[in-house]
Amino acid sequence: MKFICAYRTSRGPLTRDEFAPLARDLGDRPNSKWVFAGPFAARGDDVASDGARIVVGNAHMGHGQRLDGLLVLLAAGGIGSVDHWTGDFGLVIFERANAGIVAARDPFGVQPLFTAKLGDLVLFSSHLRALERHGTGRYDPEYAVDFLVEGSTRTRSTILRDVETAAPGSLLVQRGPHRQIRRFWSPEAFPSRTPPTRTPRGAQRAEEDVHRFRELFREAVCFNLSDSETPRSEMSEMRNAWAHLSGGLDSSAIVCVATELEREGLVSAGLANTVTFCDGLCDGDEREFSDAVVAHTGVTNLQLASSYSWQHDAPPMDVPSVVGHLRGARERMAAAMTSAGARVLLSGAGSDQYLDGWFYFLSDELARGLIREPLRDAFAFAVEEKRSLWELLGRRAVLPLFPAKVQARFMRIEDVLPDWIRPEFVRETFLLDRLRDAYLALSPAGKKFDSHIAHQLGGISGSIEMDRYDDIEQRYPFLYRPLVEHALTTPAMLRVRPDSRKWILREAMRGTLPELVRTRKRKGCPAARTLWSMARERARLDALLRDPILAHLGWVDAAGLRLALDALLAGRNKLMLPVVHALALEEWLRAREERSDLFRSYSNTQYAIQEGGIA
Amino acid sequence: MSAGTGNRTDRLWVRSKATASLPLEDRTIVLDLRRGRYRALEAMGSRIWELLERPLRPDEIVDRLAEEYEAPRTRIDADARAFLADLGRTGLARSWSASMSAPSPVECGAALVGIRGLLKTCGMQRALAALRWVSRDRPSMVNLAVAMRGARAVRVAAALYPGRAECLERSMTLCFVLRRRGIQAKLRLGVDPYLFDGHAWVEHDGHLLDETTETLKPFVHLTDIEP
Repeated sequence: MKFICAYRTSRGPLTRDEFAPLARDLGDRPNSKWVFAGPFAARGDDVASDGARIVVGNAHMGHGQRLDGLLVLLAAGGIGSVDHWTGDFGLVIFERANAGIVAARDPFGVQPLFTAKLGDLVLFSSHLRALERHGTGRYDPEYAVDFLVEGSTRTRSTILRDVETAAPGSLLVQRGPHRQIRRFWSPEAFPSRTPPTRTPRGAQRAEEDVHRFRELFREAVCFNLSDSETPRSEMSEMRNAWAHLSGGLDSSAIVCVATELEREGLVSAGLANTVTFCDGLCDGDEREFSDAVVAHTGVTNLQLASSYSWQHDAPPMDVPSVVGHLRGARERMAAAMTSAGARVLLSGAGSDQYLDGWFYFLSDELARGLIREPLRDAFAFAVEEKRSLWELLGRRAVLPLFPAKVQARFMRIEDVLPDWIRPEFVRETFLLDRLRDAYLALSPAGKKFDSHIAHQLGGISGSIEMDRYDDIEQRYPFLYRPLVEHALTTPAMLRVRPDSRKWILREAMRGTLPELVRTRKRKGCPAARTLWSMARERARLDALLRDPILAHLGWVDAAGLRLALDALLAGRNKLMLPVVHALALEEWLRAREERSDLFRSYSNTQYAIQEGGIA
Repeated sequence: MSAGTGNRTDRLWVRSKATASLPLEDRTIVLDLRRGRYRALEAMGSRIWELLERPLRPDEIVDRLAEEYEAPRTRIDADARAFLADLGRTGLARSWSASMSAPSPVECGAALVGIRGLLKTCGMQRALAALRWVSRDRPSMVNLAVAMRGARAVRVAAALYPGRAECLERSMTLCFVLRRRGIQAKLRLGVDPYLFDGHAWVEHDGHLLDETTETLKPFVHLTDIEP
């Protein structure tokens, strides 16, 4: 759902004449509501108000609570109650008593919340596009370079210099000109326990952790299946939730638990359908696994084949997106869901960020003065994962205990930098410093693993931002706050075990997931299809890079980027992702600057569907 | 390998590959292809030659002969062993240690160092030729348990190796230690045609060693090398 709101920091009244032009870019939404209250004005699909407050934004709080329900919570507990909310929310609250606003965003940034300043106005919106006209329109180079190298940014910046995102898990309080930002949730508040996992007591504790994880995961799926708008009695008739079913551990766990909950009568409406993208190239075909889940649960499954990268048949997304080149496939899925009356899509994303991670717990063990344990663990990992014990010990156990300068000498951060990004651009944007923060273990000794997990979780809102649909609400059971908080406190070895990543999830799903899926060690990768698509759509990509905006902005060397694409297709360049990111960003910029005739004049959808046999 | 080492009762015997034979009614004519000489094997010798088509221990040969011939077992045993020793001396049959102990990580580590050095200095073709030479005249026995333990030992050796052991080096090491024992091992090479990644792995009697079908999914099988 879309919204935009504005607050005048001088506290003067905000009139319809002033606000209407600002809200114009929300698009033609006949059912949206308008609210004006002194210095505050809002337009949105969902706006709720009572005598004390006005709330505008997006929220899914489970069990029938949307914005109306939040007003009740706020009336009972005040603004401080936000700290303890479970659910996904990105909203702005206007408090009539002090004529101030509070902007709040859920801990993982599942719901969008962009903000910009325009004179004495502070603007908030669910969509970047609704704010883009109100600033200078200049691009943010730091965001751009992060996007090119890593595909997302961990800062609050957006592609537009004048627009920021509200930090996940934070409250922004604005009373007149005074602004205060307070973080109410942080993964650092949930340090992992140090394990005595190899003792009988430790084993018992591990069992309890697994049991608790299972309970909370079931609760998470139940929470995300609950609907707010449909009366409970009608729910069974109105199944509106679909789920991704890639065949991987995470999405399969959600589907299996959803059907289990429905069988047990714990949810009124289970899944209406599941959807699988099928790709027969190399290891992209995961149907063996998704079919096993379908056979195990009896859910229906829509298989979308012949969807490949750079099927440019949909408008560009709200923000530059690393999955932008998959818009054709995404649009086909969205169309199928919409025509079936579906509104909610459950995604398996989220668990990679906290149930998996680098082996920094080896370093933490060393820092605690243990020697045998990290050696034994490192040896087990090295044997099972076919790694060098010495490299593992050196990089993940010993090196993290040295100062940043020493770490930097061995980690060779420059290796992740493509040579076609202009060096002066890298210097201007302090990219190397940010990469050092990301790749070096700079946190205090003994907290390296937790710090790495916190860093990973910090990047999840950026990924979610890029994977949003306009009329479909994507929900993330793995980002259910109590589940994440519990998982963060479990010992690292319950999450990362030799040859069994996400061990706690696998154990919790014993008996629920088909064993074929529960015990699988890896997941199919669409990289081959992406390269195939690059070769297939080469003419279009060449046209895209002939005179790129990225080069005009001084960010990349156009000739170098073209050579990188050549090298990639010839197998000489292993840095594929930065090239994909560059293509995605260039395409988004072209669409924004209305230089996208290239794509408007040519459609390959029909061709793609005829080639259904490829996938 | 000559028959001169180890306890002979623990050894396995098989016909040399450099022979051709013609079974007649009462004897077998054997041609030693290396020396270009014929030999005629009479009655019991002819039967032993027939049995040596696949690797057997002396005890197994004696058991068979004791079932077929009416003679004291001790005599059959003495005659058979003398005949085997004769075959070994003349190069018509070969023997090697019949102990089916799995390769140890130390042995695999040494082999890994050698193969890595060979690959670095001589290239892949010559390294493979060396591997073939080492496993010449070896039978191709099926023993999945030992093969699996060998794969594990190579993994341990590779983990302890000071440096990164690539899949080709690991796979050639595994092939080497298994083929030395006369255990079947097929080195397979594949390629991911889009990412241009190559991969090597080992199969034993159709079973993947140290791999799963899932991990090999991206790779298109390119060629087999059966040392």
